[in-house]
Amino acid sequence: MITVLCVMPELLNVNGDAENASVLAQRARWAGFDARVVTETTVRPDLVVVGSGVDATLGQVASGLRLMSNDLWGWLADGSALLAAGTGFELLSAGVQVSAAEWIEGLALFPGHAVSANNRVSDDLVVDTPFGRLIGYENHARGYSLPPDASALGSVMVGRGNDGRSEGASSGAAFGTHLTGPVLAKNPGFADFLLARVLPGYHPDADRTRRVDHIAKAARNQIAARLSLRTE
Amino acid sequence: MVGRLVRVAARLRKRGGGSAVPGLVVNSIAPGFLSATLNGFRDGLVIVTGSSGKSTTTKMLVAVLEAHGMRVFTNPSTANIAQGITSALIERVSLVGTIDADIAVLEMDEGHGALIAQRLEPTTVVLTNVMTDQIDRFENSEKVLAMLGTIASRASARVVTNGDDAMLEEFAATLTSVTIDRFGVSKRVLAANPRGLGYARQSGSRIVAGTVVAAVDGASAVIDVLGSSLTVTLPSRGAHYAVDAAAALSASVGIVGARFDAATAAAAISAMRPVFGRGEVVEVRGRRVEFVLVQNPASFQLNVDQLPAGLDQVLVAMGSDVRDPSYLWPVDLSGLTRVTTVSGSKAYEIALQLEYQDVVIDRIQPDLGIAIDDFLALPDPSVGVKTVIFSADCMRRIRTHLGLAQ
Ligand SMILES: [Zn+2]
Repeated sequence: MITVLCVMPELLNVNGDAENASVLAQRARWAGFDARVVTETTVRPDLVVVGSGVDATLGQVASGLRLMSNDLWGWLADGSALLAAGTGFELLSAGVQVSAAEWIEGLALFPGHAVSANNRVSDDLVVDTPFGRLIGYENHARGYSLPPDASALGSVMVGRGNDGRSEGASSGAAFGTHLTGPVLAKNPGFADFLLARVLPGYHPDADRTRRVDHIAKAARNQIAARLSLRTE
Repeated sequence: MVGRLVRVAARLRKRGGGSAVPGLVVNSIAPGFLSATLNGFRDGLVIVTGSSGKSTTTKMLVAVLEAHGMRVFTNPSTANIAQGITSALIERVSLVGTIDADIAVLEMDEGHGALIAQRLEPTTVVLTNVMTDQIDRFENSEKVLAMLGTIASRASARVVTNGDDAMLEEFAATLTSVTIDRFGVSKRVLAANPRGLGYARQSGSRIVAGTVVAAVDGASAVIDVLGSSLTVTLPSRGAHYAVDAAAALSASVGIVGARFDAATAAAAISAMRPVFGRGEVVEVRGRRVEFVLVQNPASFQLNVDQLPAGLDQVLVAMGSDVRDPSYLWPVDLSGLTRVTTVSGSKAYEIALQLEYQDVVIDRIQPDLGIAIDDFLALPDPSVGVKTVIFSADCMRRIRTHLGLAQ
């Protein structure tokens, strides 16, 4: 049985990011494992998914995350993997510079911090990463400052990401990204990378997975073709 | 002044004909025309706005007012509200420069409405709801509420508001100089809709005074208005249509005043025909087809939940109007069980969601024309009627392809 913790989905599912938890659970099931998604837990979950919310709830989410801080640090040290998107990613960094006057302290799970920007981006985001090219969508009004010695999730091929060059951050088995929505469904290579990390013996080669991943590839290729990128 | 502008408008109509073009012309040569005319109706100006349900509520309100003998000017739903309304006004202007209406009832998109609201003097503003699902356009519910507030704060007499919507309730508490009339649902109706009614935030308690949807059974609803229980036939099944009817009844009570007749109002709403894409069953190529329009995640969920169980012929089509279909993922589509065809330019994206939610897909055909032709050619389904669920863009394309009137 693997457990996927979906953190505060009632506040952090604005773009469908919390659905990454169901994607992980379904792929585990299709590979023959028992899997469940929970929104609260006292025992260590195998995977943690933190989605994105609206700015009006940044403070509320930050308080909620602070209460979980010791658990999150402990679970990651004991082998859990984590995916955070959008404002969830920002609040797990050192903090969020909402405006010149307002700073919201984060959990510092990720190196770097979110910086205010003067324009919102709502468009395609394509990222080159060690687990393949990720194709998705970004919808955020801030940039991200990553220290020079820290690891990004990957480098930006199309879109803004952190700053137009690097995208996201990684620290051990924790991955933060501006890719919103169920990015793991459209990029199953990333999902399988996370699953293999926490699930010895995981092989995503069931019939169901193959059929679904074929659809995901068609979705990615459609976007790649529109952006004049090579198709797979 | 207004009369002269209206006569200019009437001459333009003779030259230009219908469409938004004369509206555009008038708005550029006589920028005061729109507001002066709208603010000049004898019985005032009513604006219906909110995230969802504006169109149905407006049509119901117009029907009730007309049943009470009022002559109503109303606007068609269009993308550009100012030009659309101006063009509709020009259509109604007589050659001597008068408009044959006592009152205007306008549906306004919250974005465009907030832009032109400063020039308007509505007597009544109806607020349907705030839904969080318009992030593509308005980023978040707070911003939507701010725009609705800009429109509602122009009301001189009355704001009619959804008492089940916590955000609207908090806003209504800030209004001091107008009458607040509320509509809402009963405890029982809410209990029958375990996912809620789709509002950004649901009020913790039900309204104590106002127009209340007491019960909903398919396309039939019991609505308590001014102490009497009205049985109303809705244009289509679903609690959200009953809430639209309650909003329209609540607004008409305030507008019609002492002449309001409950039976007349109920008959007017019950006589409304279902609208294409909102419950109407259409005969196409010898097949009976129900078309279901999806405008946002909340309406997607409500509409899917209202479909009969076990449908065996369903086509789902998502078009490029849904820029990033990710935001539809919180909608639980598992109730569909099986989808015959997935189509539209976002076919692969919506197919992924269906697959992850354990819905069986028989076929993915992104080409909408081929998909709808093949779907209609299939023999009649064994359960219900052929059902097409589509986004607005796919609705337009399918109507054109099938030669159905727009
Ligand atoms: Zn055809």
